[in-house]
Amino acid sequence: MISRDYIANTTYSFFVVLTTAVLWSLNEYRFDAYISLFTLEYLIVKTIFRPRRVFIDLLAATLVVIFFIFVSLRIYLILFR
Amino acid sequence: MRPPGIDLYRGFGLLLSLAGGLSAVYSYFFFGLGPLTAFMIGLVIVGLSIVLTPTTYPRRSREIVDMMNRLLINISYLLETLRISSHNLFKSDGENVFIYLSRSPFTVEEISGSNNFLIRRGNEVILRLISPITMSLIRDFREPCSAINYLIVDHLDIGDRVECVEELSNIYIKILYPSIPSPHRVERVLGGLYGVVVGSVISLLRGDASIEVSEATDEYIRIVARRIS
Repeated sequence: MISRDYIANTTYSFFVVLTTAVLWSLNEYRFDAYISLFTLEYLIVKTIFRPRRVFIDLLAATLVVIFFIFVSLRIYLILFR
Repeated sequence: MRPPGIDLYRGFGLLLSLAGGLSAVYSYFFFGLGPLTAFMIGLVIVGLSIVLTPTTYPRRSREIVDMMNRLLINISYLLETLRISSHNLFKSDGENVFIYLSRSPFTVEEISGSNNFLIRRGNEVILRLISPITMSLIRDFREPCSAINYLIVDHLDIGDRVECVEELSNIYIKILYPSIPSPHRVERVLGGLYGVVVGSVISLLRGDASIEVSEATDEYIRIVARRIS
């Protein structure tokens, strides 16, 4: 039996590889699309497996901040360009 | 020499994030912000996720586990002295849970109305303990399985995960990677600390309960609890 922490990390790495392969095969070249999906997947894995962390989950917070920056940029580009 | 606090697994994560970061910089200069750079950033995230994963329980948690173990040894001596071996009952008054332990079977009527630590019944005694689990800890829960999972995994962090099935009057629970060992006598009478949590939660949410079966291995503890009312 494997601890849920290891299952979470393994599942997440599988998701990263799968996302890149699928988006690439769909000719998706926008960098922010990849990172946004990585963020979403990280949060999904975190919610389902609830892996333990050494300290608070700074990585999740950083990814969410980056995600919001990308979304803001997209909105800006749609509205003002 | 390894840096303090870094084991093989987390070392691999650190290596992965550094290699991913370096590759991301290179692929950015050669190919720009594209799929390859994004994949390398993905590897950095995976690496950091591994680095942030603790491979041992925190020091404070280990100290609490040690204290709990010593406390349970005292309870074990008490049970040994009173020759209490197998019969238990978890009874709730809505907020608190009382655990009744005895050598031979007893009914709810025999213990109702008594607030003593020791209840005499002929030549035998029934021990009455107060459970550390109260309604305030699980107020938001209606299902015993989700409440047990919350208490053991999230609130107390004394187990890796919980598999739980409720079937008619029985509830089957498997706690994977328990961190608190219990003395044999406590384990046999009421399933150790995990049995206390399970029995208390069921009695708070479903009514009177007892721990019927408890077996422990290095990897898991299996508990079968039964609703009495």
